[in-house]
Amino acid sequence: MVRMEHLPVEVIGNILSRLRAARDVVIASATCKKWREAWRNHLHTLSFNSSDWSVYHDLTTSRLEILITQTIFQTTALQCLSIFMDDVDEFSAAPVIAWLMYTRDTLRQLHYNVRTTPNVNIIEKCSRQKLEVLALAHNSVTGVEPSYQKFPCLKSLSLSYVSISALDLSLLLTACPKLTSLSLINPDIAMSDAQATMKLSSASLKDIYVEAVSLDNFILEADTLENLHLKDCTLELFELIGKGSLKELKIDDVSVLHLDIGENTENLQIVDVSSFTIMWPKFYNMISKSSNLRRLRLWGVVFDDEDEVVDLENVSVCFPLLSHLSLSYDLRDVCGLQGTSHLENVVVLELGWTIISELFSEWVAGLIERCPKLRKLVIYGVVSEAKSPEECQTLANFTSAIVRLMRKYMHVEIQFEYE
Amino acid sequence: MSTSTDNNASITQESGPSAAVQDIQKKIVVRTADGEVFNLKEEVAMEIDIIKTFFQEDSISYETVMPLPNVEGWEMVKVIEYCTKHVELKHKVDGYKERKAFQALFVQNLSTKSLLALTNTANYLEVKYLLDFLCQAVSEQIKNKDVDYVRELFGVENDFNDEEYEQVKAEAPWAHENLNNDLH
Repeated sequence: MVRMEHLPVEVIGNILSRLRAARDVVIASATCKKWREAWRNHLHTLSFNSSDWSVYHDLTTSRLEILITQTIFQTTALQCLSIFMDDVDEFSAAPVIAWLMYTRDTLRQLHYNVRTTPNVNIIEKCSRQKLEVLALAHNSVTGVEPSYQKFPCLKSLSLSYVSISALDLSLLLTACPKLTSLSLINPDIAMSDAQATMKLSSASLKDIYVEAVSLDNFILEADTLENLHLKDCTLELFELIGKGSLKELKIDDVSVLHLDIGENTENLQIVDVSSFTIMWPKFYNMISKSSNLRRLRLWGVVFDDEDEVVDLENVSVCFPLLSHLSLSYDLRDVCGLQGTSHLENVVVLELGWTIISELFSEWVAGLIERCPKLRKLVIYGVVSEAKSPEECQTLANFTSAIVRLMRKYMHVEIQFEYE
Repeated sequence: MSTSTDNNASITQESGPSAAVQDIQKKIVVRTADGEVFNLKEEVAMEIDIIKTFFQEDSISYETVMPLPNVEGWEMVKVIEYCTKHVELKHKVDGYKERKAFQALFVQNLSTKSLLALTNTANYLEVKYLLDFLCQAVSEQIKNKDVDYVRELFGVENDFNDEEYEQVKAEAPWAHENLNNDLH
């Protein structure tokens, strides 16, 4: 049997690198000389995360700065560094700069979420040549010089609670020719002109996630974009300029007056809209040419015009490949069940109510009838705590109606999810 | 066992999609330290870099039985198991859950000693993804432990003398001080 001593030092370095947490790595490195050597020369990943070790919480900020410095300075070829300390208010600039400078030549991934005082422009100080992943939070980017600050290998960029000007963000993207994934969470975007317009452009971007952004105009030019996800944003205009590569569109709790994802939507496979005020004809027009659509979800949407409704006839004609349909909105008298064409490929139906009504079971029945290949039905409901006798009766009627209905469709799996 | 020549001949002549003939998959034969012989499917064998390199030499034919003097029979079984699953999942679109479940089972009944031996073997055989997975599994065993526990678990001898050890501790006093009593 092999004992630990027989493992090559590089393999021990691999084990320590997967251990990640600084305290654990340091302890393990104290077991014997070989482990110490592995720690010194073959460690590529190190993290200081507040969730790793409860003792971090009890240490003063300056003690933390010292221990992080001491530890990092004992490594030689660090590739991934993660400093994620939620309960630290701020680190001083000097040690932070020291950490960045020391790892500059070899670092490929940097995760850093602590405010620095005075502010350090991390973009300027961190490793650039080899950096592939950068995740920054609670810091300010005070200037970007794309002419000499390039990130030739950066694939993934995440900025959370970061202050940056719209211009600098746009310049930063031009400095990252291989960027495929961008995540912007609650940024503080400084604008120069009166009308708040942000224009971002990237020839390589595939995924973008934007959360908690408030702007007048957001224009994104991205010829290879596949996934667009907006959450909790307030915009007047959002425009995607591209070559029709978009596969997935997800909008959650967004307020936007004009949404434009371009003429070419033939690659769109997933459309997921929730908590949104929708102008159905306009929205429908936007996606009507997506004949490859597989999943459509309209959840908790409110129709701008009270008379609007999701017209199933149009849905079945325009999206023949649709396999998953999820609908939840307040039903009116008109359920959108006119017409006779079937949703030939729908196998999963998710239908929800927030306020139970008599209409709902009728609507469910009508929809099931239109889905000859249905295999699964999930009913989502909201049950309020204080139920009046009328509400109880309605719920009971609904339950009976569904039971009667499902007897006709024994092959369909039915699930209920109540909150 | 005399079909190996036939296999070679039929495969080189076969270029069209006649599925029936392609069923005769090329096999690669290895012999482990304890004398056990294993027939590997070619696609699985090629996952193991040391085997791949060996058979890429022009002078070596597929009939050769490759010796693996540093590998035990039981280890080869495990390696084949992992690589076969890996190849299977390569073709699946959404294999994440399945992979996780398989990985959990794979290490479930392995003692620490066996885990270490297998790690060493994966390194020797040069199967990177298996090595990385096993290193991860090993690292999970020493999370939040103290130095003595780690030494004991891995059978590591402390080869520092007292002076050296004090120096080691002095390099990271914050980690070695028992600031919290929740360590084992």
